[in-house]
Amino acid sequence: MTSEGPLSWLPHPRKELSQFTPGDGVLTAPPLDDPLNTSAAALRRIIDALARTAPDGEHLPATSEQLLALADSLEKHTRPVPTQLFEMWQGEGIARHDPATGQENPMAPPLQLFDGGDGWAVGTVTLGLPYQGPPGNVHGGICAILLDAALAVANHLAGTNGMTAKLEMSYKRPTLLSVPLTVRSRQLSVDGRKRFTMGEIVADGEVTVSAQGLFIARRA
Amino acid sequence: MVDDGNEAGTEVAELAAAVRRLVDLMLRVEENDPSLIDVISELDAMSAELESAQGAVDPFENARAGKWFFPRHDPVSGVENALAPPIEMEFDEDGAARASATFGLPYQGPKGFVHGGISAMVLDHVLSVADVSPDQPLVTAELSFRYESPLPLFERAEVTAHRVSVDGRKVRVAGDIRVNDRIAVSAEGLFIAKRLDPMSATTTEGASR
Repeated sequence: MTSEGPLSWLPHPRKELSQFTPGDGVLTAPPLDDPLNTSAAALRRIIDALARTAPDGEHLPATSEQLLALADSLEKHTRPVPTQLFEMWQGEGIARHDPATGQENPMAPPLQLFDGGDGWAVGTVTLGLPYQGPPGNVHGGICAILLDAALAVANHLAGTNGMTAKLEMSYKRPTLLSVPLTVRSRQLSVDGRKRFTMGEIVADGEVTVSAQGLFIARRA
Repeated sequence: MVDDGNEAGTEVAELAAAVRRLVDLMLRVEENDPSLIDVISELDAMSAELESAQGAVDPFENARAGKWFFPRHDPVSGVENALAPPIEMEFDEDGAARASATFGLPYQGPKGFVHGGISAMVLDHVLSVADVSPDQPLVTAELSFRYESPLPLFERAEVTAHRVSVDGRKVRVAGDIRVNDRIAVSAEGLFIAKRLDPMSATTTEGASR
């Protein structure tokens, strides 16, 4: 399979789980039962709890000191940025740290996408208060990042990747917080290095936001 | 009092800043670092404390959802939201919006560069507040982004937005993100002046005033 040694085809055990090839069911990094995934989930929980907390609660200052002490001790266990910038990209898998789909990024809801057949990447996500823009609604920019990420995954699924060159978003109706949202995307066509891809957010059977993207592949 | 969005002094803002630091650190820890076990239990204990203090209060009410102008909780500029970088915003005399931010590892897309969706999110936000008045918030209708050059992490990114035209409730806004005066992403947006009411947000037109 390779000329680099008998075992070199074996992927990094962690990265293997985040890899997919066309036809696999899961298109984004699945959750793992390791301390980092669990920590990211714990941070997501406190981000959400904070978004629901009224300001000026009596118990809050002590918690802030605890959090900073926690950060101080965690900092001793972190890799320097240049090292991590290299390490986090090892392996051939999908980024586990992506701000939309990454299980290891506490910012990410995270959005999980699956192969829905016919070239569709499909996933469901419910967003809470940290993702709020207009009252009761998902921030328009959050819709943009979910769709940008979904378009990239649809390109992966089609087997032809590229960098975002143009992204057009159309907001058709409000996207509500706290209800299940379906995010789906599909590559439409390829013309040389250009890839045309579309995606949409659907709630209760109606499209709330749609996106069209132009992606350019690197020169071969 | 009208929040100016820059007062980071409240307890919730301090908590958000601490969580933001933890999010950043979390992206530089090895997946099986034993120190994470303590982090998880302490975070869960604190979350439980915060959650129990909330009681049966309506989450929307608690999130001060009614404060439209310079919200403190939004995911882009909100000092009380740990997801937000947060960007620092100011307004020119002519109403144009300016913001700056330095993006770290949580905002990474391609290796060493800001995620295209993050650029879109930040531009959406800055465009939506350009030249806005407190009694006429804007809701996003259409956005178009052009990615002209990669936006590097760890460098000061400058975001500007200005109103291009107003036609009834339709407002057109343009803006861009630059690093060292070079445009990384440019954007054009169509926004509708409309106030979404959190309690009637379940209907489309019923929400407008």
